Formats: sequence, C-alpha cells, structure tokens
Amino acid sequence: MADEPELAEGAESEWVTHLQNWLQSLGFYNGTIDTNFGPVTAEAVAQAQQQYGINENGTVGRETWALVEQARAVSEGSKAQVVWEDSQVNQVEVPEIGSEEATA
Amino acid sequence: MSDDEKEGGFDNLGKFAWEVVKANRPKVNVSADYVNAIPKGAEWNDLTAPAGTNYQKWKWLGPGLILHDFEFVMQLSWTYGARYRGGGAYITNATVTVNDYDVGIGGYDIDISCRIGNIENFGSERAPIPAIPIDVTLKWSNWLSAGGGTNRFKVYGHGDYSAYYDDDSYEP
Repeated sequence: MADEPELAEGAESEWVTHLQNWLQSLGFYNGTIDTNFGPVTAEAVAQAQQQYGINENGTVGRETWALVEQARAVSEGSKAQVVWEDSQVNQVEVPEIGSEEATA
Repeated sequence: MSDDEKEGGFDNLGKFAWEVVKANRPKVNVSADYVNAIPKGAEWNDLTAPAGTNYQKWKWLGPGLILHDFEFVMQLSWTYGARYRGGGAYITNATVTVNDYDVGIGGYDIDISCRIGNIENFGSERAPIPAIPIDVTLKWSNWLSAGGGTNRFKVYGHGDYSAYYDDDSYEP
C-alpha cells in the first residue's frame, strides 16, 4: 500500500483534499474542500474512525487511508482486478495415432 | 482403434478443488492437486513424456483503485504434447499454484477455488487433442462488501490455451 502520508490537524497538502473528498462521499464531511486539515475535517475523521473502529485517535494513518479508499472503491462498484503477467505457450504438431507404428 | 479412442475419450486421473485462504489466515496449498487428460483406459506407460510445460501467470488485486486490500500472484501450468501410440497430444498434468500473496487489513475472508469442466476433444478421432476447461474463482468478503470473479481457462493438449476474466460471475 502506498505513499499516503500520515496526516493530523494542522496539515496542509493535496492529500487533505483527497481525504475530504472521501470523507464527504462517506457522509462524514460537509465542509469546504480545500487543502487544510482544520477542525471540521478533524471532526469528520474522528467520526469515521469511531464508526469503523479505527484506533488512530484523529490521525490519518495507514488504517484510515485503507478504510476510506476501500469504502470509496466499493461505492464506485470497484471489483477485484486481474492483471495478466508473463506466459509461455509453446505448441507441438499432432500426428495421428499409430503414425509412428506405421512408419516404423 | 478402440471405441474410446474413436470417441476421443479421456480419463482424468487427478482431482482439482481446494481452498487457499480462509479468514485472513492463509493456508496455501501449492501444487497439491492437479488434473490431466490422457486416453481413456490408457496406462501411464503407454504415453511418451510430455513435450514441455506451458504457463500463464496473473495477479489478482483486491478492491481499491489506489490501495489494493489484497494481492495474489497465481499461475496455471500444464504439461502438453504427450503422445499415445505415436499420435495425439495429451495433457499429463495441470496445476494452479499461488506463487505469492499479501492480504492486508480489512478483515477479509478470501476463497480461491478451482473447477474442472468436461474434457472435450478439440482434435480429430485419429489425432485427439484434449481441451480442459479450468475455472479459477476468487471470492472475497468483509464487513463492508463482497465480490469476486472467475478466470476461465481452457488448456489444450498441443500446448495452446485461452483465458478471460469473467467479473460478472460472482454469486454470494
């Protein structure tokens, strides 16, 4: 999982915008979407963590990121994905049964 | 030529059904089960050694567009090209293995299972090529949601194969 930073009240970054968008889609956040992790955002984070049993005490860490991302993905109908990787597919000619006996 | 050979009949001496992971506690059963398609009534000694082993690898990523909650690196392998009385092309072994996996947080129950369909003759009466349908299904669920999908393979005795991912196949 990834590069999401740990965030707490007072943080300012584009990750806060992502966080607010996700919290809004989950119904926890009704404030302005910006880059500031203010008290309204902190309250929304606390509500989400309480509802889903995450013990990060208002800090947005790995568990919270995973939760909001998972919920968002499900709300968008995300499914498990398959990524095809390398293969080896050699083939052989197929003689008729008895052909070797006939030529032997 | 026997009636079985005329019909392109095949025996499957393997078995192919297992669970890989349950309740986030992986119990990975690697290469333990297998399937094969050899001439009906034939003995192993009647077959030549296979021509080789082919494979297709894939990665199964759990839900999440950025963060993926779980990941399984899988592989289907099949030995092909074994001959019977100088002809045909038979599959002596096909297996699905879990090469690697990572189940993160999220409280997932994850099942991966395999099912073998009817083995058909893709070749002719005198040059049989068994085709083995192999479905590999992944199901996941947790407190929030559930889902799944099936990789539908068909492997052929002369080495070829087909594959597609059916993500509408999920049934709770």
